[in-house]
Amino acid sequence: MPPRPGDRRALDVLGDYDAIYPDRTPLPVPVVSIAEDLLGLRVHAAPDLGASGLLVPRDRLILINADEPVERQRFTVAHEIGHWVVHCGARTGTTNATLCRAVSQESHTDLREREADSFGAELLMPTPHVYEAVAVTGANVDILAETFAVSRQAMSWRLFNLRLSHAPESP
Amino acid sequence: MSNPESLFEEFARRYHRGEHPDPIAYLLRAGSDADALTGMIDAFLILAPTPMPDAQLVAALTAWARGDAPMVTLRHGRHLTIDAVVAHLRDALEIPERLVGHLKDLYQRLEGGLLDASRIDRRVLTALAEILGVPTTLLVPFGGAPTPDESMPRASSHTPVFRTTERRSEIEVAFVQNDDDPERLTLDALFGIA
Repeated sequence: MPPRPGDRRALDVLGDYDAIYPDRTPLPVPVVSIAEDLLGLRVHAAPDLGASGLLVPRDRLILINADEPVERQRFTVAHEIGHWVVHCGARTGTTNATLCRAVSQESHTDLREREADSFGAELLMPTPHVYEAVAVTGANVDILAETFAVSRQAMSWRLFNLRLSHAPESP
Repeated sequence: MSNPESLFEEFARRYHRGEHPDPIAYLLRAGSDADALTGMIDAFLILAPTPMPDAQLVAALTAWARGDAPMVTLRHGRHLTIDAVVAHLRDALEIPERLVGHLKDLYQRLEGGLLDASRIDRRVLTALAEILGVPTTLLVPFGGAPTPDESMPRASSHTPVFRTTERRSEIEVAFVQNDDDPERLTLDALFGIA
């Protein structure tokens, strides 16, 4: 089975970021800086959010759940950036007051939620960087998760989707 | 009150530098000599070469037309992070360190077109113009940006696809903080929030 293609738009965002801020350290990807400095969004952590994260397009605001681990917060920011870029651009259009990343992955059956997840994975774990890292360290989930500052679960799925490892076990 | 000749020379000098001096402001400064100055400025503008559009202005206008926030584009043009702009504002406005987080949020809201730029204090605009390398007159019309809802075509019927768990008002409750802090209120006033 061929690797699942990542969302090219995430790599474009990284390219835009590098063009404006060329001195960044490649990894981990500075996802909050991308949201704030590149896209002009605000990122706030809030307790008792009832979701992992929310995007309020009208307010250019990403709210993330302050009670969740940092690695998951980073993925949530990347996911909401995906909504902003893919679903809220001037050429697309949404009248949704909020876009939400649910706490449970099981509810990510909606196509646009999966698009945002795919975008977030590519943004945080860019395909070229993952291949490079695997060439150096092997498909070691622990090392790679630390390098990319993501959860083990996110890295496991990324490696599987790039056909660099077997399907991860369910938690 | 300045005499009309010196005001006209100042106006023409700024025009030739590529700035966009506001004739009305000069006429107000001329007071009872406004009519004389009007004649000078009229004659000058008829003959003066049309200035080339400023590259930053073009970039900002293009961003606006795309539905992006023009002030973000202006900041990108200088390769500035938000923290760099906020640090400049903090120094210029002498904001206490404990309010820097709030200052950042206010700046981000201004940059994102969420505040009325016409109500922003001149000291803020001057400091921003300095670090963004643009005249203050350019910042006021670009303080605003079309939000996605305003800039994008509206669907006549749209089935909500995303799970909406919060109303806007509920979200904003999370940001209600100590509103009786006088220094915080002063900072809010600088950004036009009464």
